[in-house]
Amino acid sequence: MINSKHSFVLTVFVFVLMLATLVFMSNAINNSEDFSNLYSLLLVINAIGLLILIYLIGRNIKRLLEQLKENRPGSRLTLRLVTTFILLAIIPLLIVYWFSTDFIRRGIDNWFDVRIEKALTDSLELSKESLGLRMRELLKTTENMAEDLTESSQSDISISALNLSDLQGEINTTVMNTLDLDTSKLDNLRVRNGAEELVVLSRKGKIIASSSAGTDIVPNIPGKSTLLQLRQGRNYIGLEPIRDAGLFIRAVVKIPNNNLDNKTRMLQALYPISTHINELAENVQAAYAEYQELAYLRKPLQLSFTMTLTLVLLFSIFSAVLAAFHSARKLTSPIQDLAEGTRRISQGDYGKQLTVSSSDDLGFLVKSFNQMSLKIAAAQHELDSQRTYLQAVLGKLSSGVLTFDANLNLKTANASASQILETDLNAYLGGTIDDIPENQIKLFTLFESIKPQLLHHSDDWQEQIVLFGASGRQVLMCRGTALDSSSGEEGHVIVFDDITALIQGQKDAAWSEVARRLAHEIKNPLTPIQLSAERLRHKYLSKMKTKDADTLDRLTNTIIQQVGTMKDMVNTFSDYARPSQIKPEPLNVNPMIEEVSTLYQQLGHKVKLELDLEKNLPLIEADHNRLRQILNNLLKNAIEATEEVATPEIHLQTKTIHTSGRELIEIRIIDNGTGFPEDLISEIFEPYVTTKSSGTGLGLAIVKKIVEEHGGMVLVENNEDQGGRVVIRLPVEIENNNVHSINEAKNKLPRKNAL
Amino acid sequence: MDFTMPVWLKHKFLLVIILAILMTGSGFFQLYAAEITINKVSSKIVNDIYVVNANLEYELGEKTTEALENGIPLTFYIEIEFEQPRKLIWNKEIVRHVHYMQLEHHPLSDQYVLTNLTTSDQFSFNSLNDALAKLGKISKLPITEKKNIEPDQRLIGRIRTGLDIESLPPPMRLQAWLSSEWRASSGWHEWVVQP
Repeated sequence: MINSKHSFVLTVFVFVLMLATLVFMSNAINNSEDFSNLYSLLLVINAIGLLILIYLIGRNIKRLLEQLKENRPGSRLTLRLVTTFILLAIIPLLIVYWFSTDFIRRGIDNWFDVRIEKALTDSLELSKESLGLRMRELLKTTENMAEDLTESSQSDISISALNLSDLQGEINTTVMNTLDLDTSKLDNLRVRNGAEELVVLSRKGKIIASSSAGTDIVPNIPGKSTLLQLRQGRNYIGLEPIRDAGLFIRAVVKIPNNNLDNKTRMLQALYPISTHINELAENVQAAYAEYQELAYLRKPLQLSFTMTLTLVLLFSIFSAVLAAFHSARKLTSPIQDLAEGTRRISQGDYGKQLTVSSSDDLGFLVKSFNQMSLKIAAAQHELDSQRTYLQAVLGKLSSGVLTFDANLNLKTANASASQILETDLNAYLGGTIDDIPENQIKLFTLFESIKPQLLHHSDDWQEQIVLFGASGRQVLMCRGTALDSSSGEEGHVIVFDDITALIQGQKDAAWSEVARRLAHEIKNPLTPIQLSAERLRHKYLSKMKTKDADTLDRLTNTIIQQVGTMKDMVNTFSDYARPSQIKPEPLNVNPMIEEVSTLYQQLGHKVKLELDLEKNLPLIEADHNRLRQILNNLLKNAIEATEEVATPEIHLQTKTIHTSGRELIEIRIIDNGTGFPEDLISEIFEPYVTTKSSGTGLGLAIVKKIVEEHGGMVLVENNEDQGGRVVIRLPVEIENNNVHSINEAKNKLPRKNAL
Repeated sequence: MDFTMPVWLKHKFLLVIILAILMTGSGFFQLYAAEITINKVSSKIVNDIYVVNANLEYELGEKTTEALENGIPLTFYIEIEFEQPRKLIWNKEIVRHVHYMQLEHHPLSDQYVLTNLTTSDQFSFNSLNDALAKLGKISKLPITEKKNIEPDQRLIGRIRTGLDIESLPPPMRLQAWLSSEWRASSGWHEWVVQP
């Protein structure tokens, strides 16, 4: 396919070629020697040129129609411009064409006039008549010469010394041998009668002898019809044009047949015509012939001129049409560029620069567009960088930030929001607050909780929202504010923090304080009580009667036992309240689990312990003793929970998991026991929350405390079928910061009556 | 079975019209068409020169005669080629000779003047038939010297003759090209060139 540049070059080439060929053709018609030989070729070249122009126009029309169909910008303007240009060009051209063809027709017709034709014909006739008179005289003269020759035919005549090899006619030398004519006699006759040439011919027209004034003119044999005429007894006289020598009169007469051999011979004489008459006759002949040719060529001439003019017209029209397309395209090109540029800007492609191809008004428009485009691009760039900055700030915030527009469509959500809500909020950007599916429990609950605030509050608001999800209870502190139009756009901003850990920390710290105080307050009087009971027993038991002694023994034993129990309880409280004293070291959890489970199996429990431990479990940084304490505690709980089950089973599992880019190990203690009451699950780790009738109620609280001291987390869940499970997740690389932050949180709590 | 009319048949009417125009324009229905035939042709070597003798027959049609009578000179070409025959592909051209003869009418003398455009020899005739007879008689037309042809080379001679349209006045040419009478040609006539 040829592109527009090639098309332009082709158009210019065809234009120049056709212009040249039309000039040549015009010259050729006027019988110019230079171009008349090329006329047909020029005609063909012109036809091909026109076809190429038609093809180019067709291509242009097709392209324009396609553009119109596609509603391309500028196409309608192009159509209008092309139509206007074409009309402006064609109408005057057609008028000129119509008048020109009319002029040609009339002009050529005017060349011919009946009177001139008559005059020319008459002149020719006059010439013929004038020459006819002379011809008749010369015929008589020739006949006389023939008679003279008859008389002298008996005499010996030698052959004329002509250069026979130059003769064009066929010369029969045998005939020449039989007849001998006297050359001088023939020459005499010729000179005497003023003939240019005398030839004696046989009956069949073969030359027997000849006499000529010069060697320039070759004797011609009369044509068949002349010979036939002579054989019929009629002599011939006629005018004959001889090349470069003018007109001659040829007379052919029969030589009277009285010679011995009884053979018919003919005498041909060629007479010159006087130079003046010759000139006049030639002029008349030339003028007549020219007029006759012209008259004959009248129609073809008119046709040729009209055709050339038509070719010129078509060439002009086609060139004008092509020029119209070219000009229209040139004019609309900047407009199309501008349209394309604005479209690109509307689609967000800023900074588009157009080529300024002209210095006119359109060029000015294009320049203005370029400036505008640059400014928009700069503004957009600034906006983008501000947005990036804001996003970076929001991204680094530990608080979750959500913004909604006036229609409650979620506009922005930072990374912390997604992290806190454990959902990729980017998936919901642009959606309304009602678009959240119910299975996204946390998000759904949050949005349902804040919706009334968004709908009804125009001021700042604050609310604590409790969410329940896979990882348990989560408490969010939400603060919201409404944006009015003075902020640029109406909507809402919501900032929320996960304060679960904080609340839990506070709670844990409070419990620790309670435990510490209890221990402190209870532990002090216990030893005197125990000592007093032992002293009582020691002092009075031996002195009392058997019955009283038994009572004392029983009572003091009870006091001592209960004091011991209370001491244990106080020690547990102290344990719980004691600040973190873990000694972390690299630890593989699997051998420890195996060790603990072996211990329990050896104790003779009927429970079936199954281990499912991941090979190559990564090491963690943990306190060996504390972790063992957790495992003991949890296993004991599990065994107790499965006591009433016919086939008690406990599964111990370990595996590596990855959440939020962190590597963790997960320990699962799964039993098929009674499970956890649903209403206690959310607070099962709090002190004094227990399902058992005995015990301190601090077991799971201590488990949680130790796990958190290791930077991990613990949660309990009920199995789908039967029993419950405790899931512990411990980081592979312990984050000391977390440990510190928890401890710090606890330390910040008011500590009264510290031990 | 579904029958679909070929595309060209759908435009049958248009086709017929175009053909009719072409045939009328080209003088297809011309009653008196020109006719040129080659009766006899031979070649021989005379004085170490290949010469050609031929007997051609020219018969002018209505239009060509009218043009001649109206002062338009008619130029005839006689094209002679010697070729070396080849198998499978076209013959190889050895010699090509084009001979031009011009026939015109002289109104004052009412003669038909035949001019050999190669030698400028001129002949006048009372009648057109005499002129055409002379035109058709090719005698000892020299083609090439014997030395130019390889000995023992098998040669095929071919000849054709007709009216030379390009010699007509330019305004007549387009019409002449479209007319079968003007385009009349004998077609190629072949003979074996004897060494």
